Amino acid sequence: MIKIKNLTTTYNKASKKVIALDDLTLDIAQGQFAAIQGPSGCGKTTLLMTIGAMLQPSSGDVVINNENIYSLSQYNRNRFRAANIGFVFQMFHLVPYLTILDNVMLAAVKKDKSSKDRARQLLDEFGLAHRITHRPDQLSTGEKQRTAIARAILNNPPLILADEPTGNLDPENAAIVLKFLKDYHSKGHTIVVVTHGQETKNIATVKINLKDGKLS
Amino acid sequence: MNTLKFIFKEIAYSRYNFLLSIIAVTAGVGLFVAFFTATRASDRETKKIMLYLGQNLRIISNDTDMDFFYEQGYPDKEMPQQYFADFQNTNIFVYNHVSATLQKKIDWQDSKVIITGTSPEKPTKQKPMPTTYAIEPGTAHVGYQLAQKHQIKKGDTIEIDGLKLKVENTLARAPSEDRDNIRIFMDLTDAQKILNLPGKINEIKALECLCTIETPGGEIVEPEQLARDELKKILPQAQVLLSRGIADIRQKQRDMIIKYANFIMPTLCIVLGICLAVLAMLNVRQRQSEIGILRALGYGSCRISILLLGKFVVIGIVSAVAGFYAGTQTIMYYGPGIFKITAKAIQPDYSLLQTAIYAAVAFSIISAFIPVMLAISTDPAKTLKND
Repeated sequence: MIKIKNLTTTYNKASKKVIALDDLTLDIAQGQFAAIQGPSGCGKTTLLMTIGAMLQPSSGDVVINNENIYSLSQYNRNRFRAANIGFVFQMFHLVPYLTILDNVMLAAVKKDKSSKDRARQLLDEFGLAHRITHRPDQLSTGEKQRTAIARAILNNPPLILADEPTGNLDPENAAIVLKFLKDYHSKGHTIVVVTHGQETKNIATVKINLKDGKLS
Repeated sequence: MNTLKFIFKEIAYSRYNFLLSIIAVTAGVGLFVAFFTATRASDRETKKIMLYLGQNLRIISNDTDMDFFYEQGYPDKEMPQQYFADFQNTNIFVYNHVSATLQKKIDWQDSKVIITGTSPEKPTKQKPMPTTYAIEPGTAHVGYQLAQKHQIKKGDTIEIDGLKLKVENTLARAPSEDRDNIRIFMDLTDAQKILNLPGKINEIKALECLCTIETPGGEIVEPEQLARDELKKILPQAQVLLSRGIADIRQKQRDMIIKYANFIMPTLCIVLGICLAVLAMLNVRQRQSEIGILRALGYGSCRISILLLGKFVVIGIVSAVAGFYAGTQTIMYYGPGIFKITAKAIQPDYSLLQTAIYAAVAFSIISAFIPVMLAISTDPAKTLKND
């Protein structure tokens, strides 16, 4: 599913070159639930964004479903990302002026009735049917994260990338979110989660430990 | 969700930013419309004022030797005195003063003298009481140089080619280059006798002359051309020269206003453009997370640019309409008080609305372009990180 080879990402910070990922090579097989863990600043989020076709690496390859994503044009990379990858973030990143339904529909590759029906169905499954006309500022944090997950899985992508999805949630809501992720994984999809939480680590099938941009 | 719905939902959400942007662009458009309409009104007003100020017309014979005229200050050829009557009988021109003169330089008692016969002003409907001083037949007004040289005093009698004239007055010293110092002013008929040119004049002078012809559609034409065209109809054998002292000053004032406009409008555009750019910067900074998530969801830079800049298209259109209305209403309200003569000609210029829409949309997009491009080029991974 995901093949990472000799991945190096560097950036400049205060005129100093920082190596975020250092010649990293790893594979994540189809249907895995991978937890990326490590201390702050070790490159977890950078790795997640790079897998998500969001961050051009300095060198190395990222191959997802036999597609070397950084050899694609920007346009095709965008299309690939929309069709194959769902994102869940700690900060939810919902568009504040759109309703919950519209936020979920943002992810739809085809803005047709079937997408809208699926969005409604997902929101119903996540217990948000009564909230579809509400805006994000009218939701609790748990409801926001459930909306973000509904958005991430609208297109039924084979890969979900989640950056500390329970980091902002109370234990009850964190458990709900983890259950959704576990259920999605159980349908054969691949999940990659950046986490500090023990509960997430417990359900992960693969643990990737990072330290100073390298596997440890 | 379609792009327009997206744009309008964002506008509704960030309404204060939108409102401030609208105010900035509306102010620019309003001032532009008001200034433009006022400048055109001012242009009409100036031309009308120039007409009303009147021209100092000098009507001379067509076959005048202009070299002689400019050198000596009077024409060498005469015209029938009837021309003077014809000019006064037309109701096309009104004037403050009109006179016919016959002038010629002669030798008199070892002096060069310009005999200057002037006709009395005929009362008209507009001016029943002539304001100019008429010289009585048999009297003369003697220029300063002549009076000094020949010791002529008020009450003396002088004789020119056998015609005796009582000196009514001696004139004060005119500026050194002025020929009045060597003139003897007298009634036209006396000059005609001395010069043996009965029924002849060689110049008609109309001071502060106003052409009352209204051009079709109220169009304002250059007063000089209008005067020439109308005079040609009544005095085909004459030509007209204009001196435009006051009118030229007005013209210079108008040119000055245009110069100020050329400075003020770009300055205003820059200031308002900066305001709009700052508002755009604040707006897109607030939307950085939104831009990031749209990128994560597979939206391309072009689509995101359209979503962001679309708002500024809306700002441009709304501001253009609001600014046009505000600017027009302002000038319609205050204009007639300022431009009294052409008050009725101050009308909304709807052709400006189209121009205003194009200009305001372009202005808004240009002002917002850099902030939007900066926001789009920001690495979305940074925005989406957990900070």
